[in-house]
Amino acid sequence: MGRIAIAIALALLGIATPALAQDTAPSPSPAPAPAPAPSPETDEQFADEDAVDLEGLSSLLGESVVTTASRGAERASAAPASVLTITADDIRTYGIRTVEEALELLGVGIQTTRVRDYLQGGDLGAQGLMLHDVGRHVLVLLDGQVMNAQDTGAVQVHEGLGVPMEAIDHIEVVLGAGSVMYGSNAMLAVVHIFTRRAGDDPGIHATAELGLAPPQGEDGQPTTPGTGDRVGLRYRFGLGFARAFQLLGSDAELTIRTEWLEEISNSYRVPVLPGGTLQSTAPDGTFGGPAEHSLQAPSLVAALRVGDFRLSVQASHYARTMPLVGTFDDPRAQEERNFLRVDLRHSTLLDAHVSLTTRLYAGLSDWSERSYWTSPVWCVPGQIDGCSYNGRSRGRYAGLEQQLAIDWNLDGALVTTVGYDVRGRDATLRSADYFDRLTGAAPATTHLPYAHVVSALGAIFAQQVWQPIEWLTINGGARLDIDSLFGAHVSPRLAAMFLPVDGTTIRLAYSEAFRAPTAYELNEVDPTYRARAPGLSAEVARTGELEWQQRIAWASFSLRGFVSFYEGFIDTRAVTDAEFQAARAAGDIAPTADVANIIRWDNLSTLRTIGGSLSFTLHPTEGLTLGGSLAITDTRRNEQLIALVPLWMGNARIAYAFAPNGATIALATAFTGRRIAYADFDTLQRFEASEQLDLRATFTSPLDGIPGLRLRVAFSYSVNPMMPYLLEGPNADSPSARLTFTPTPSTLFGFLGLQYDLDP
Amino acid sequence: MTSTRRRIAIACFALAGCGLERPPAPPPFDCATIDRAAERFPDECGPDTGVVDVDAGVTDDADVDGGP
Repeated sequence: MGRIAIAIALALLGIATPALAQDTAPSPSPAPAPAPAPSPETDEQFADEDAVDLEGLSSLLGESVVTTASRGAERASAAPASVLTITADDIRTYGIRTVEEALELLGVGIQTTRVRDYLQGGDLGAQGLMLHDVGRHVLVLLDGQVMNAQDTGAVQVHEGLGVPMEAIDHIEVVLGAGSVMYGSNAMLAVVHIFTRRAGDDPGIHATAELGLAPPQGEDGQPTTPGTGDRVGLRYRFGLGFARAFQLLGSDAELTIRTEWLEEISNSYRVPVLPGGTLQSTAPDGTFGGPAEHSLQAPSLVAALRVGDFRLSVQASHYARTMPLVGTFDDPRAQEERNFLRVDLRHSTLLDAHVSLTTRLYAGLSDWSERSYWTSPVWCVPGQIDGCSYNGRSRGRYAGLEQQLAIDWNLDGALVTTVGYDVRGRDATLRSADYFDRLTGAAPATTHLPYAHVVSALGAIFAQQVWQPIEWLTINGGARLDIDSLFGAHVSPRLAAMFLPVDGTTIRLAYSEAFRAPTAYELNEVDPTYRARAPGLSAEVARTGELEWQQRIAWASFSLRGFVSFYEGFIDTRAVTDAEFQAARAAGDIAPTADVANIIRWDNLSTLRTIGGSLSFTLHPTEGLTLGGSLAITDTRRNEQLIALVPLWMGNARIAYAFAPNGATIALATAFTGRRIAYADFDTLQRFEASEQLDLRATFTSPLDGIPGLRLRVAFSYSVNPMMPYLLEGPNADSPSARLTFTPTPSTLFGFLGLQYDLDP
Repeated sequence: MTSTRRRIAIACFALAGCGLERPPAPPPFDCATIDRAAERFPDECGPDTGVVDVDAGVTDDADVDGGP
């Protein structure tokens, strides 16, 4: 039965997926049947591209089937971009707790850091760039929904993502420029998360996980609990339900996944530093000692499918305290993110050649952050006892997207995709509220910034896939985005995939991408140091790449090289006298502000990156899997090396399954080279941060005697516990300040989890 | 409430009801009404400005300030 379904799906893939219908990749099974005209019954079943049994197809074809690069299912070897797939099995096997960890331990050329105590919470980079930018240069999708906040562009892939881990079926990572299909933010990579269907695991699912972490000393190494030093606790409960049924005469299914995650961290000691630029409430004015944080992250993902319709909802709350921001270890310093996203999709085959997908979508996002500062230097005039800083942004959006795919010959050799996306957005921003630290009173003389921005986005996109001869596929496309926030931009892509022999793919591609300035960036004001930045234009990336993929029965590898040029990167610069006077006159900056201390955003940087990556997966014997990747990049600005991203980074993994669906042991590592440490203050010189090496060992096993119950135990250790971010260092105010790196709060941890799947 | 009115109310909430409020503008600057004005705003309300500081009663250091 499964084979029949796969054969039908393969035939139908000619509609949504041009390249796959070609017999160009090695197949352990007989070649797919030619594409017959689908019956109405199968239309209803498979018209929705995500209804296709990708896992079965991947197994049949001996390679991944992907859908993100072209907005339709195709073999990874025929995709116009480099695509990596991380499966739910990988996530379970290697003890992965977040999407961030999946990208770090199993990704290729993606770097993440857990800067939990800095304002941004976590950095995400690829293609030779990792900016301290709240993930704005990577587009994250959940079943086609954009997860980047529409008001700020921010996205987090750690606990703040808001997707229960057990809801994830697989993750596709498209490296490089992806704006041709998705528009803004897809500059460095597109991370697309696909959730599980009712058919994947029907029934009731419960997950419980408990983790412990010992306290850490000033050197970041684990210590024993004692005075001021405590053990950290992290627990996670997941509950899910999935069922297929009949409703109104149509096939229907309901999937609901919820998760509650909470962390009361271990203590991690920070060297005691003199106050100075750091804030303190200690009697002696020092900063440091044992720090700890807490985190809560409940989330929900639900989908109801009836016939050709799918209604999906995502909701999440994320709150974390920030002990190293503002006054030391102040539990009131915290960040919050709340999201609600709704997506109604209709997918149908208009006739044998034409499929149409329509999406109505809407969402709400709310971000806020609060910290406390004792020095009036960081506050607005009159706040001599210090202040609380509050940043906040709330966005709403709604849109309509339609996509039409035409397979002219029903063989996938000539496929046209066209579509449009219109979106209305509303953002209200209070980027810098300063209140008196002791009384909570509003400033007596300074206007607090506020902006209400209503904007519209319209985009059209088109893509043509053409396979003129058996060993060559050409994919060309472009997308025009017209955005009231900045203007218009065209993002083209042209890719050629050569398949000279079975198992070999040579891909040559040129693509452009952009990132639009967000309402927040255009209107961010801080009366103490930042003026408004109207007139920002889009950042642009132009990338050329060449990739060689090779697949044999028990192994596959990829060797990829690329060169990227980035123009108009948004960065900070000092304001001019005229801008300063204008900001003063508008009341954006405080009356006592000094022109020398006021900055603004502007399109400044032009960067060039040359890089490459090697990745491989081996299955030498039954049950044994090895894999890994190594990425090397060289990023320069005006010919000077920018080492905010390590020159080299990578990961490696090995897993052994004792029996199919049986116990598995796995070890995964991620490593990065030296890089320049990031500082959010002006240091007198650049400081280099050491290499990083993270190790994770995981054991998973079904528990005998209780069908459906599985156990997972994992331990993780960071060999270098210091993050490449400066907490303090020599600066103009304190030339002799001690060089101090930010400690990772989780050098060593272990967790034990139980998963119970009940399929009545 | 009728279902139509309820739908309109929900739509209004979704479209306009959940944005952040504009922060209030600071009141007219008046040294006499600001607690510890001379200490907090020495340029505007300090002893050399000729402004008499009125202690709002929150602190006990009013005698430090005050003009001629």
